[in-house]
Amino acid sequence: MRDVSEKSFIRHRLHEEDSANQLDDGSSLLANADWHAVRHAIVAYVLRKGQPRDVAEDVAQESLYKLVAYTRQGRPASLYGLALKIAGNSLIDRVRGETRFGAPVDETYACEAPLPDKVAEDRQQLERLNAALEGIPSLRRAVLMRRRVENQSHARIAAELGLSIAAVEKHIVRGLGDLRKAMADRVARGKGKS
Amino acid sequence: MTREDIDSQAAFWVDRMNRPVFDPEEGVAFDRWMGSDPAHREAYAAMSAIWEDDVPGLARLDVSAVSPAAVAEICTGEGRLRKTMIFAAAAVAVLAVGIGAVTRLMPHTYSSTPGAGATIALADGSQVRLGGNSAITVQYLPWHRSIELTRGEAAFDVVRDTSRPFAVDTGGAQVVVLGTAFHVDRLGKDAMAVQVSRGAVQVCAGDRTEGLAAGQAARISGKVIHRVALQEEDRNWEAGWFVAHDVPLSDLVEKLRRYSHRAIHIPDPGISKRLIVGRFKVSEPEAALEAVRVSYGLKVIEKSGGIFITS
Repeated sequence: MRDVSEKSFIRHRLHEEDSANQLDDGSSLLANADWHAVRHAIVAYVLRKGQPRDVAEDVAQESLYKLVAYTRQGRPASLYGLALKIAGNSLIDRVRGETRFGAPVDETYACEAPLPDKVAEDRQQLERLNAALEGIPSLRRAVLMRRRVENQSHARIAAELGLSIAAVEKHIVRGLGDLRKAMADRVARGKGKS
Repeated sequence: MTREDIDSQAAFWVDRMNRPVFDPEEGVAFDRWMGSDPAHREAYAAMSAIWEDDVPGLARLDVSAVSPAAVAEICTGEGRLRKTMIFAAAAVAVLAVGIGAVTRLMPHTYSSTPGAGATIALADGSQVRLGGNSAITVQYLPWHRSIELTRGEAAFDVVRDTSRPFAVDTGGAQVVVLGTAFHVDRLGKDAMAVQVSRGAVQVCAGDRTEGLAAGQAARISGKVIHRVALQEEDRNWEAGWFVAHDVPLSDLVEKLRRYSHRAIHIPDPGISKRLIVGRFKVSEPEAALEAVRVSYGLKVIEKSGGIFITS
């Protein structure tokens, strides 16, 4: 299994590192981190970005190598945060690479219309999403849009809308929760979870 | 702990982790939370995919008053760039880019066969009239409505929604609107044409952008945007006429492919780049090819592999 070899590679390198520099903060993290869990976080993240499993596995592999290299130079403020940033960047590179060598215009005349049940399912999902967006109270929606779309700071949103920063945070968290419910999850359903 | 509690915690962390300033103690708490339960990791992954869903900044687009710089930012993807959290100095170098357009939660693909267009009613009330031998992929996400014109042409009548801009991507170029009516035509490789019948749009190609108002049209080749006159035939594109003013022969052939049941090839690139002038009835490919043959002294040969245009 890939998981095992990845882990053993990290462990192996780790011993060298440990003996070389016992006091390095980054290497103590290297020794103690649960790499299996970090790997799981990356795979789950890439799958949620709509990528197939083999891409997720590749991105996880690549990201873990980089993560280990960075961690060896110093302790990141958040191992998971850094792991997912590296994975995100790696995904962007992949997407760019694909478009550069680009899929040519499809010359076949085959009908690609989705099957009726797929259309119905997508339509339901879209209706849920629209309902959720409309159902989000207007203040909450305004806070969410300002933060996410206009990239305004929490402080600015709070000042302009006459809210406390804690209230801004609450609106964002609840608004995201509403969207999450609406986009109810194909991946989870595909696995047979409820 | 219920699924909703976990989702709520995940949303809390997504909000925390997407701020410009990042407290190292929070990083430790985040790592502890992520490490403690696979369900936390799953929930965080799902929540950040929603948060990172593409094209922020588009919603700022007010096409009547938008500054070119702002649109350039949208088009080049710099608008997507968010200030990342602060990590150890060694790590910062790799964190220069935000997260891009990879979410694909619910795309629909619609396509048509040569000669047969289609009308598609989208869930928000917008309407698409698809030309022959054309295909689009439609995807609606929390922060944007995204259409990919994978081949052919389509006219869009878009319901205004300022919080979710509507973007049509043809591979090389992008047309961005809030609510308007316009026609996009994917011609040869890296070439497309846009005509606006109502409202206004922004056309982005490479790092160039151009605003087009109602009654205006543009042709995009690679990264170059040329304004062109809007022809009456463009306004009424479904009638099947194509007016060429010094456009490559390959554009005409691409138009013919919307109607022709046989493949049309131009093996010689020199011929395919030859500029043509004229008014062609592309919905009747045989007549149009005959006109090409007569006007430009080319041979039009029918073989088993399709129709070949040669010198």
